[in-house]
Amino acid sequence: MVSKETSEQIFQRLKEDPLNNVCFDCSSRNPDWASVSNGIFLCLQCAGIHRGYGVHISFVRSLSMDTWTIKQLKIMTVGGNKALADFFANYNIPADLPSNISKYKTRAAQYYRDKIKIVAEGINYEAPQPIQEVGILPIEEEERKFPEPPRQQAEQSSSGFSWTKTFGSALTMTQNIGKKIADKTKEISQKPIVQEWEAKTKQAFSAAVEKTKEWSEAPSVQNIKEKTTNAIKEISQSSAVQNIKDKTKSALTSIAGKARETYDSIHSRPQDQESSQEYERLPSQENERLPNQ
Amino acid sequence: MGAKISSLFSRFSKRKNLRILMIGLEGAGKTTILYQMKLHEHMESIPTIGFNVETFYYKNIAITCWDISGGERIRPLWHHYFENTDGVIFVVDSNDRQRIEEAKEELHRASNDTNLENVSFLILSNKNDLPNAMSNSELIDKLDLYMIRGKNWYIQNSCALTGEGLCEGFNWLSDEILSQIY
Repeated sequence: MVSKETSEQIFQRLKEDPLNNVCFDCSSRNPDWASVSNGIFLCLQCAGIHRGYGVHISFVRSLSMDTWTIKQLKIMTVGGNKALADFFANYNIPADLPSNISKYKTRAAQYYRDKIKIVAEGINYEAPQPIQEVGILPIEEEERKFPEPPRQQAEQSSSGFSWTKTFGSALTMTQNIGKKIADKTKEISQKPIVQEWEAKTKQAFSAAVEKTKEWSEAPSVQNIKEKTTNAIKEISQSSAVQNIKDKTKSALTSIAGKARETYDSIHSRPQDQESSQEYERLPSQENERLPNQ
Repeated sequence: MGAKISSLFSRFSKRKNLRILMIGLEGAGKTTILYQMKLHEHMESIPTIGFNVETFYYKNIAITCWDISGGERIRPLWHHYFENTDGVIFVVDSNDRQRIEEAKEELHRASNDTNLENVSFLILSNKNDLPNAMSNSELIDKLDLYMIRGKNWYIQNSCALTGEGLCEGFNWLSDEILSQIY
């Protein structure tokens, strides 16, 4: 750890370079923050964005409020805004990269971070600099699944009766039983006798299907089919059936209309009030959001 | 049993107010968590200097959440906020292996404070979506959580950008606080 006076002296000396006295990302004056891993000076706003990248991409410290180690100060001396700007100039990284693949997440930037870290210790960095086509590629990050909530720990650390716990254990028990049943079924189905019978059943079934097909094509069956269709046609066209149909239709429409009216009269007013309250609340939240801006 | 039933009724009958304190090293994600709980969306935040306070409703409970800056100069001032606190959320950046020791010291300093006796601690292992994140067992080991005496604690993975794990954490904390009070 370095005393505050020493670190401030060093920053003052570094800021004599006019390029170090502006934010690397947005060029606003008098930056009070720094990304140590990238060796650059930042303003408060950009420091916030850099913190969002995670410490493996950009480790952010305040020039005035944090205490610094000698190693961190050496990295800042080796790095600086100009050095990184010159380095990025070799790569022609497009300015309109989407925020999730920022220029700090490229392989070139990773190379630069490794380099200034080693050089700050007084050692030459010998790894070859990535060529332009490789350098602009994003760092390979393996996909990671969000871990399951730890159920056992919850049972250990919390005491007393809880509904979620009870239902949770009941659920796991049910799941376990279901799993056991599924396993047993699989085991049984793979036995030779079962498989033999399965094959036999399949044969018998397909024979039955064929027989049914044969029968259905027989002329007597076709005859009966035709007669039935004719009879159904006759009945449906008779006036009595048509009459019943019309009556049912009109009754249904009148019921639906009534139901709609009743529903509207019950629900329309309170709902409107609620939603208007919601609207009134929204803008005030907006103002509360950032008390320190 | 009767007490259980009456506590259940009181749980549903009226709105409770809880005062929750959120601490942790700078850049752990406290402000992002606060606004994720309040607005259910991700907001770009800037380093907090001082504190942010928001009240939001979670399961019929009004939670007033204090998000205190984690800066080195502010940490000695944390104890001013400890009084009358119902629960503490300690946010850890599970991806930051270099400062885990620092986080451990701050956590134990807070948990040994006399104003926080019998106050439950929720430890949020934030940024758990990143590939190099520490697992819960690793964090328990590195933060020496089993050395916390006389209070309940719980460790929960979270990702403040998407809000994953936050509800589970608040669920545990509010259940824990309410079971102590009622």
